[in-house]
Amino acid sequence: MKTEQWVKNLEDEGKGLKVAFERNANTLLLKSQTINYQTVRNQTTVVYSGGSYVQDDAERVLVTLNTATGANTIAKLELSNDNPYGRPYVRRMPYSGGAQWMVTFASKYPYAPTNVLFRVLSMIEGTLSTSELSS
Amino acid sequence: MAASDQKLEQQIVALENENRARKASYQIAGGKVSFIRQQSQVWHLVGSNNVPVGLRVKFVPDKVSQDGISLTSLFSQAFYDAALTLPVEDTTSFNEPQTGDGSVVINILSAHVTFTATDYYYRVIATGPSQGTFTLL
Repeated sequence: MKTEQWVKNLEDEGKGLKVAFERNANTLLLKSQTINYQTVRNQTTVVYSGGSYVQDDAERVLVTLNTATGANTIAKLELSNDNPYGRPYVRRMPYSGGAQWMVTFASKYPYAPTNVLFRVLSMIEGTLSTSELSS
Repeated sequence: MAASDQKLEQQIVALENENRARKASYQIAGGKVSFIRQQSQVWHLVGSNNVPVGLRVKFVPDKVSQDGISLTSLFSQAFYDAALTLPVEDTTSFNEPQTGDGSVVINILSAHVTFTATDYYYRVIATGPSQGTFTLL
């Protein structure tokens, strides 16, 4: 190979690497997925000296994104719900194989399930699922 | 060795080194993406009548990706005083699903379990790939 050609090849490679490496964060690909969820009534029995009563406890749900490659990912959870006074708490959980959040809703009074729309933005594609947690 | 040959050789070495360095750091390229942390102005609300105090704040980034979806995350800070020293513990916030117009909305709620009027001061922190502006909805 001629020296000039060699230099040109190196320069082209460098240019290619630069384009891929120095791209703006705004152009990073984001995969988005949505899933609907309805909370499940979580009743607990409170026992006191004179008897007991049943109350509606907080409703928890695990939102899990399992990435296709099994790798952990930079991800963000967004949600909307029809329970304005429920004050949902969102917490990212330690999870291997993607991303996971635990979301807690206070139950509505008078009782009705809370309808939620979850949306996950992730840098890696995956499958989104929900599972309820009771007390 | 001729002077031009020496120059060419130096150029080759420099290019090789540059490419090698870039390949080595490519694996952690995500860590090199610059994320900007931005603080909003402070909003003052008054809670009363045993009703939770809530507000929604919209953040519009200056630079938006093609599909209008931003990786920007919003966080809330709530305080009882204007000096922002007494945090409101029972406060939650969540990011609402983006509509694709480039904006990100945070929904903030504080428990207000008293009939006494109380001052609340809120501030929003944005972390993301772009600067932007905050608006109270």
